Amino acid sequence: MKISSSFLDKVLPTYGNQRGNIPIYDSTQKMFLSNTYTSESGNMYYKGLRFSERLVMVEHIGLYKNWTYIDEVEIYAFDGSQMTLIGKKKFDKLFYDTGTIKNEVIALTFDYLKTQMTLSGGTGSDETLKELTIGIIEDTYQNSIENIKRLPESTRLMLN
Amino acid sequence: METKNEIMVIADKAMPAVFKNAELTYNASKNILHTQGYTSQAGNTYYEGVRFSDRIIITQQIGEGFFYTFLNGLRIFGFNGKEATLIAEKSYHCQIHIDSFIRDESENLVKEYLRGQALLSGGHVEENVLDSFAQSLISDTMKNQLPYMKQLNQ
Repeated sequence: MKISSSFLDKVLPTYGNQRGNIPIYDSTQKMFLSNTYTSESGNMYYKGLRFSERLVMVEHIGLYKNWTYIDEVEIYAFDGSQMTLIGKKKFDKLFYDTGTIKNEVIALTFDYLKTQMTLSGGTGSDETLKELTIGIIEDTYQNSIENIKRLPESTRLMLN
Repeated sequence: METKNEIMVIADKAMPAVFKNAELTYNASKNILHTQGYTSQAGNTYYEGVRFSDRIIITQQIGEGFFYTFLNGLRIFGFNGKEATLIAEKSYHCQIHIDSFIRDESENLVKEYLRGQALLSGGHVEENVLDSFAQSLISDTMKNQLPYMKQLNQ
């Protein structure tokens, strides 16, 4: 495939022209990026989405001058072809740090799994459950560009 | 100063998050716009360096320490209508600010964006073609910034 001028106009249009509706994949962060939203006060926000076969993780990110903040994380599980929220946490003026976010998401997912296990009458050690949780979350950090092709349309709409 | 006013209009239109209420200065020797600096209690000064082309905006997050100037981050934006939209972001830790490094990193970020867009469009682009386009797009941001300001201001 060659890069034609029409392709370039679709993915990197000149000022004033609409960008084509192709999801943005940031390979450095291994994350899909939503459209950027600018508030009236001039701050910029976007969502970063990581997918695995079992989870969708949404990071709400704020850009202010030189700094990048994590404002909120949400974790969704699949329910048929829809998604259902299983965990959510807001942060106050927390600098974006991948390690911190991963630990928070592991804790949220662990809580969800433990509650589900208890409500189902199941038993298991916290250590085993923690290992399982870490594996599930690590999968979302292996997020590859090919993942998006397997996702239902309802999930892909979150990228807008 | 006409140039500065012109820059402010474009910057406010395309990048309000970066430039709102910002005092921009044009550094002619480096052909780059600088936002007003902020000095922390520790004595470090932080500001952004910005370059436009007709297709992308690159912002550098810069920190001035006691001895060195550091690159803290790079953000690359494309246009979506009259709004800027983030297409790549990368953070750095203890990275000295070096122009050639920034250029290489910017080329790589744009290249990966183009690769992703091609894949998601169902295509595959040869490596050398991606290299060539990324280099060309970054070269455009190194050109004299003032003609782009006029173009963007129309």
